[in-house]
Amino acid sequence: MVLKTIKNCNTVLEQFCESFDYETDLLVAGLGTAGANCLYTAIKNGINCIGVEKQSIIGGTGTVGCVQDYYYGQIAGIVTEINKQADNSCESTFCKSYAHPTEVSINASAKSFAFENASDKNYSVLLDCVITGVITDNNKIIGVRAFYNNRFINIKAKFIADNTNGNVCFLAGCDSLSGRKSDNLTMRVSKTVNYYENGKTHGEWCSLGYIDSLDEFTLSQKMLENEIKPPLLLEKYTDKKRAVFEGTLLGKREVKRVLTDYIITFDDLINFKKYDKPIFYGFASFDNVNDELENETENLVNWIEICYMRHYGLSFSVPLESLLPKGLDNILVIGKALGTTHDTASLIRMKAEMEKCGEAAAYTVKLALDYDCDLRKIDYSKLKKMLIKSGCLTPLEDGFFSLRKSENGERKKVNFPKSTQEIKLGLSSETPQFALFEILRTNGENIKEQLYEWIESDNKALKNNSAIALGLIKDKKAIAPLKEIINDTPTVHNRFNGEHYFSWLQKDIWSDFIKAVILLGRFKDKALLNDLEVLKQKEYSDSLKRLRVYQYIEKAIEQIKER
Amino acid sequence: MKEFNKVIFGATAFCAGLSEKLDSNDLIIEKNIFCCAEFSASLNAKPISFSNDYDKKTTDFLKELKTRNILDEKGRYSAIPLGTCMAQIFLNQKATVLFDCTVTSVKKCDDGFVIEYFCEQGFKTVFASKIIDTTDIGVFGELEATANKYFLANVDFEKNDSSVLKGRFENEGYLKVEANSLNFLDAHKSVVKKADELNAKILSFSPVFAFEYQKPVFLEKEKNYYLYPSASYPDFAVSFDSGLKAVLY
Repeated sequence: MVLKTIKNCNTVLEQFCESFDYETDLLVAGLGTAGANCLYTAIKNGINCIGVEKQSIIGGTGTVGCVQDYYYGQIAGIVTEINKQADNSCESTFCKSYAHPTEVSINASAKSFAFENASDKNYSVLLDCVITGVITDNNKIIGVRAFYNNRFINIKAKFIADNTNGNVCFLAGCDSLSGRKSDNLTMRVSKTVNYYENGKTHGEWCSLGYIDSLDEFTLSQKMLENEIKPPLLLEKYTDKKRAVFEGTLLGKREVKRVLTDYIITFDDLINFKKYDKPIFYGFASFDNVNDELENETENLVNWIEICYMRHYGLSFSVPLESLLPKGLDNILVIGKALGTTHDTASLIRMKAEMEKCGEAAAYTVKLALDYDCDLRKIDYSKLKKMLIKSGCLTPLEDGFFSLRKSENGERKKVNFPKSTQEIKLGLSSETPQFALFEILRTNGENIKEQLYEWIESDNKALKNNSAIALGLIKDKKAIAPLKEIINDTPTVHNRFNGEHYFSWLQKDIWSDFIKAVILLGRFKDKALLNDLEVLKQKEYSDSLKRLRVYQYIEKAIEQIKER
Repeated sequence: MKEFNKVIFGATAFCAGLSEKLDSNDLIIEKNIFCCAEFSASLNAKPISFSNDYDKKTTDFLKELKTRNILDEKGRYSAIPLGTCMAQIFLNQKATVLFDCTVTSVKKCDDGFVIEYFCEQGFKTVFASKIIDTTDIGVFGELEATANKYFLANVDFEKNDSSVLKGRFENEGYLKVEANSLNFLDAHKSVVKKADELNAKILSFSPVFAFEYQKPVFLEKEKNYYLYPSASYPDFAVSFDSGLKAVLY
């Protein structure tokens, strides 16, 4: 047997001849959002299991990360039991946490305590225990080594559910998928503090920016500098609002993902791909919170900047294969490191989905144990039955929906324009996003001829949006009318729609000028360079600067030069 | 391997005082991702004593806490912002602090020590001529037997009770239970039980244990390896002030 560790940035292999301190059927490595649910499900289903967690409190981002509210997502499955228990305990023991009336929020300590009560044997959970190495035998993972109570311990496991941001999988030799194409960065990271205000707790966060390429010295310096800024340190504290818990882990919206048997793509999601082995459903938006969108992928720029779909989300499913690390037999990756691309990681990351992910993993292991088979060879029909029974696999209607819920908690479905007349109406309006996105999704099928006609229209909205639509599907006939847009006086659509209780969704802000710049860059036509260089020298309004006009122009020039 | 003159374990109140004497050749290794866990995140917010003997820097720090309304005239304070405020001291001193790093071994070598710590990138080693361990009971639990262990929860509580430390603000309380033989799971159960008895609402659990000593501890573990547990001082002000005045051999 071999012990694999990382020492001074190198993988070190050592002969492993020690004995094991613990032996179990299922080791849940990391008791974060997914891991806590995995362990809870495993315990409830009689699996002999051990959970190991670096923090001293179970629950990860949803508890010690101070993210108490559910942000999008579809709450279902066994976690509803935990939430109910936690909610009940807020009637007597714990304080409630704040949420908008149509949303759900659970006090962090109440939730972690509900998880802890599921385990009647303390040895099932090792807290303040950090996994430092993986023990393998002929490339099969036998167990892990961890640092616990000031000494190293060895845990042997038949199966592992890895909720350590993929670290166990990576130690075992699995390949990783990194961040966005332009610079490999994953989404920016935040730190949160819980405040007590008006009789309830709530989290407030600040961004630490990108931390991917930072060594521990640079990252720590960044963390230290962040500590003295609001909301972590306020100028003055009052009776009305006091800090009650500082996040003990950083809020990572995206981590390096594990290369799994199947990687969920942007196209899968927007086309509602049907998988053979779905394990849970979910709902969210492509919720990339990075400021400099010009560095993001074309898909995300289309979604957020060009089609302006940031007010909408979509239903989706996740297949079992995206939890199975390529080349490894007895391990499942759970949590944010599951098999997604950078784009889809921004959507498949919500707490409700991560909870179901952990639950589904536990059932998968149960079947593998009951039938003494590999994870890949379990009978999916049996798994499906278990997941349906628990509520984890509750199908959602395919479609795009408003992120805002109505008073009865429902989301309004988006009806995309289909007929030529409907599309024309959409493109002629102040809110062309559905028409644009439909054209993008169908690659302009059956509408191109009309778009060619409409770019000659006297109706400015129809003309500009038709050019943008053609630009989205990379039709060269878009170039001339897009150039007209960039040579015209730039305007900004700045519409307060007040529709959303999430403050960052209360305004619609976009600019045809910026859209035209982005789309022209994608044609990689050197003849456009002069026009763009001229634009770079101009002075723009503050609104356009906030929309990063200079950065987009620079990016377009860069794209053309790269060709 | 990076080489340092002094490596300090724990970005504690004592260490913040000590940071006055540190330079770029020194390093602070902290297990948590915040400072002063022993008096801040631990919620062990016993009212502090004010003294005329404090160094001016201690007095200035207390003044800053008062300006931010973290500390009142009776010495009561709000635990969580204390840690973030103390981060300012490390920043001002340009101290090199490593957060989220667990010390896993210290090995003696010819002219100092090789320290191995575990961080997100795996194991790393650094060299130190001197080690000053300011953590609660020592990173390897050397002082466990001499300290009393407690667990605290942040509560909303208006009454007076000996098991609840009063914080700076109205109804701000820190419910304290003895935890000598408890792990975190048991400690959570114990504090919940006590909160139910008192009818106090729990706002949050502390993520760390709190430790208390009969008197300040200084121990020379071996040559050039010292233990100065910050938690052994009666409160953060005394600990910080003692760090400022500590003599480094």
